[in-house]
Amino acid sequence: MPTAPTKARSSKKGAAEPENPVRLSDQPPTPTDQDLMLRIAQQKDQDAFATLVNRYRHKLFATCYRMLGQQAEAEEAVQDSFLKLWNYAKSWDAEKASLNTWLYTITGNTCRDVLRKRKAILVEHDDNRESELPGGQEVVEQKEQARLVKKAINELPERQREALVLSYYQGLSHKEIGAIMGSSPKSIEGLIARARTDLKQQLSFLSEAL
Amino acid sequence: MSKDKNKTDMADAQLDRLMGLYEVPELDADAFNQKLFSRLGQDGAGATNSDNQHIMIWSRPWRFAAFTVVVLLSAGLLFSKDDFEKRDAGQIQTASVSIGVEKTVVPAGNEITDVDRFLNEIIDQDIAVLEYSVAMNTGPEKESATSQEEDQDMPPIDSFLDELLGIESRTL
Repeated sequence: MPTAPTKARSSKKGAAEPENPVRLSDQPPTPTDQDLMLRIAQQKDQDAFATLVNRYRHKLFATCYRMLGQQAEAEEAVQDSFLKLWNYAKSWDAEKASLNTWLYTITGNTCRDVLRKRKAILVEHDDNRESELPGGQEVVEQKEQARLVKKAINELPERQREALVLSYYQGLSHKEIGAIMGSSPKSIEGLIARARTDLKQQLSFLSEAL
Repeated sequence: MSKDKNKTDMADAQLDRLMGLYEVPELDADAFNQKLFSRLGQDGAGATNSDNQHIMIWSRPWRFAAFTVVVLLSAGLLFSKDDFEKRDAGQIQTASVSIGVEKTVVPAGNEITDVDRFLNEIIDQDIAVLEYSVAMNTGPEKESATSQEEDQDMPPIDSFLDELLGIESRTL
């Protein structure tokens, strides 16, 4: 149903007013996360679920992709996270954590499960590291730089990587990350600092090319 | 000191720039939603991969086989134990008669059927015949060697059984 701004309509003095004028205030307000979660928990409302999926899909995918480094695995992890949300919607307590925090916690756990399962593959991958890294003097293309950064981030310890991704790429505060990862803001700060130091060491040979 | 600080800041900036190169590929939202909702519809509650770990036992044949063997063994043990307990309780008892004939005794607590009565009588008759043979000092092996005279001295078996069981036992 088309809607016209109330202000424009009221300016037309003497014009015939429709019997049931539609005002902006009649438009349904954007449902909050809490409303949607309530509908999922109580009625298993798929529309509410779809709204939440559209709201968080890209954020969670970006996090999972940077945690896992593989698109297919990242998509699978995000799907698993959403299905957990669907199944355990009742267990979310809005007073304890925001949905954002809760979802990142679920996603982080899911990604850790995936990483645990493929640990052996990562070890094999590790063997090729030296041969893939070019010499410090070599100028590399931007694409190649991106690949090396991705590789360096993927080789960080799990917790360092998660803290760095949530901080740098998702822009979460240390306090929020602490709530997601079950650590104090101070220790999150330490994790991020160590992650950055490791990255600097691993990518130092690229500084000449920048 | 300030020089060092500048150097660190520079390195941080360089790192930030490098990290900015790490882009995320485009996600096909429609395909993603379609897959997600098909998974949601498939198993109603929408089991996740980690939830599926609980039913992995059914999807691995060797685990299922092992599980079946354990169940069968347990069932076998239970049945054999049950059987022993029944025997101990005296539901099936065998009493051996001194002359080597086993007599089945149905316990008093159980209902005695006509078949049980018939079998018991047959057994009783067999025992009686053997007891008679022993009493007359004649075994089955001797029977083939008995003389005509001895046969004549021995009372007829029918009359003996009639005395023992009654004339109506012939109709059984």
